[in-house]
Amino acid sequence: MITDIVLRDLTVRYGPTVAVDGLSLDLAPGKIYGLLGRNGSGKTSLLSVLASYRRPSSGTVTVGGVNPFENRQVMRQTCFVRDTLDVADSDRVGAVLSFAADLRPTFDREYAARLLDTFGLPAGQRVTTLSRGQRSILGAVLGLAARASLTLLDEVSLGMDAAARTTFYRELLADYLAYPRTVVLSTHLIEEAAELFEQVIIIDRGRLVLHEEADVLRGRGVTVTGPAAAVERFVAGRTVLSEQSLGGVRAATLYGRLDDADAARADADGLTVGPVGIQELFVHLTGAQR
Amino acid sequence: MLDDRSPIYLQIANGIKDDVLSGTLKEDEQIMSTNQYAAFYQINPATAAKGFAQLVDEGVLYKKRGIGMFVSPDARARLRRQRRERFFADVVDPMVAEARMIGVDVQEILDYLGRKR
Amino acid sequence: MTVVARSLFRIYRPIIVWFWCTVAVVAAVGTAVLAQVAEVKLSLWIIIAGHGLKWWLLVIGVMLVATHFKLYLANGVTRRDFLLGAGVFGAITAVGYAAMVPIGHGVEWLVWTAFGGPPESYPAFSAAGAVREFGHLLPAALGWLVSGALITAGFYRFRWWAGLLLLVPAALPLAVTDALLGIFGPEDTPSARVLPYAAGLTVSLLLTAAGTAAFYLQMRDVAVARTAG
Repeated sequence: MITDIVLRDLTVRYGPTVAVDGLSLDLAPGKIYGLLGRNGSGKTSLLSVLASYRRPSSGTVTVGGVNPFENRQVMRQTCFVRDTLDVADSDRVGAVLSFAADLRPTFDREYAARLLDTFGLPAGQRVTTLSRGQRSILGAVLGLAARASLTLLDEVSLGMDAAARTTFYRELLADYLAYPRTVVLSTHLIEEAAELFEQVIIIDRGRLVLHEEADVLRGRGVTVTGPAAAVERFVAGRTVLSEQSLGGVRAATLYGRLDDADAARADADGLTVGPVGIQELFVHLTGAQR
Repeated sequence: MLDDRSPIYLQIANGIKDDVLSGTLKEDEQIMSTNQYAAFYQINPATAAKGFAQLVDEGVLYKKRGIGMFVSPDARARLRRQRRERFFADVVDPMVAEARMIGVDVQEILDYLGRKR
Repeated sequence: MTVVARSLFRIYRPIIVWFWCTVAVVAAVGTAVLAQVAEVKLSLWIIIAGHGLKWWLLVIGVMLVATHFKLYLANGVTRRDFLLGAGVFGAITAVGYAAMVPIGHGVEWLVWTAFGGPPESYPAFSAAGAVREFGHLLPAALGWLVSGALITAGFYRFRWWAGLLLLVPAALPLAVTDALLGIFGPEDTPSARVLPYAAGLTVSLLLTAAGTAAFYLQMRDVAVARTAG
């Protein structure tokens, strides 16, 4: 089941709070998406609708042209791992995996056991005794071994230490290469996960800020530094994300690629042009207005 | 090797070009597949594929259907020609500009280069 | 049986075995001790198992919503399939539990016979009596199960104060079934009975069916709650 996901005017409300606000989005199948947004930006609500964990307050979502809500074929092929982890706390790790294997036709129990080994998580340990990082690992194992055509991972790497995160990224990429599927990964650790993304979706306060190929986004932002007057002249008519001054020197972060003529002009004006990474760009796109 | 501040497909393309120029990759030699490349450098395979596509467009690589990508027979010569054309603009001119700024005159540079020969 | 029902039985098999072993041990030891000091006028098995099973099914009803619902949804099961599977599991469990009481009663009676016959006032075992016990316990088991599930569904779907308000109607299948049918059958508590058995059974089953429908309506499109653990 490799299918397109289409969201139209999606709104999720909790009483008076609007978590997702008229969001429209098209997701082509078989890609790894990075879903980026600050805390409370509506990421989890959006994923909950994609996973049929809740109905949208208004708007539509279709997966392969059909409404996924209570659709047996679609829901069976969807795996949503929340940071709160939906497992039986009294169970042992091995039992949690066996339970998933019983219910999910696509679940690879042997692969799950290999992943436990790789991460160093004992199958005999009870869920209640797991540390924050170990819970995150269990979530990652469940999400990977489910091999669901639509895999939604919400902040799964958050509690892991640096070594576990590196293992997680490597396993995610390796299994994705072997079993291509649609993966939506929401994370705050943008810098270290960014190279896995084919496309990046940035949402802020429930609205779509940007949906772009990750590699197009890299180098989409530039910083221009130099004498204040020259910087001001140069940035006129461009999208300025942020500005900083120190004495007579000004640094401006611009959104948009510079062509060769722009670069030559900046050079002639004595300006220094530098690149901006995806994480910096994200901070500028979602941080300034609050 | 890769950084997050410029498009990765360009970094990949440039890395492969450097390997061809230095002779690490021989002409008509098969290069890693997109998936091998993605796994090795821990990047999205679509990004790696885009880098390869760029090199095919530029004639550095050629595709054999169902087998993989290979270094074009004339890739090295072609890349050398391109880099030589840009050498003075990309490497020498900035050096001369820097030298002027710090008061190193051209004769000093020539003397230095003479000793390097 | 559905995938969900089979999986629920796998989870509950050890707990079910543990429940009945405990009841059997307590009833046997209790009866043996009692027989030393006085004439045994009752079946401890019927009392312990009969009361125990109602509470056990109430807890199952609560657990199905509070714990299992989320776990099955998280593994790609639709609400409809979960509710259907949980219904099959609950119904089979209720039937099995209700049947265990007369079966155990029969075993107890056989043991008494082997030890020289039960005391005169001990409730004698008969086929008709067994059917009557089953006929009273099954609707009670179903009522308690549905009430447990429905009460929890109110808290799961709505805010706590709405759940509290809904608790009263949600407890009706349990309360009314208990009042109308009890567990010991018509001969044991004739004065407490306001309706003949057939009428009591009808009212009880109708209330339980209504409770089941209300439960389904509350759960069929409910959001999967975001709770830790």
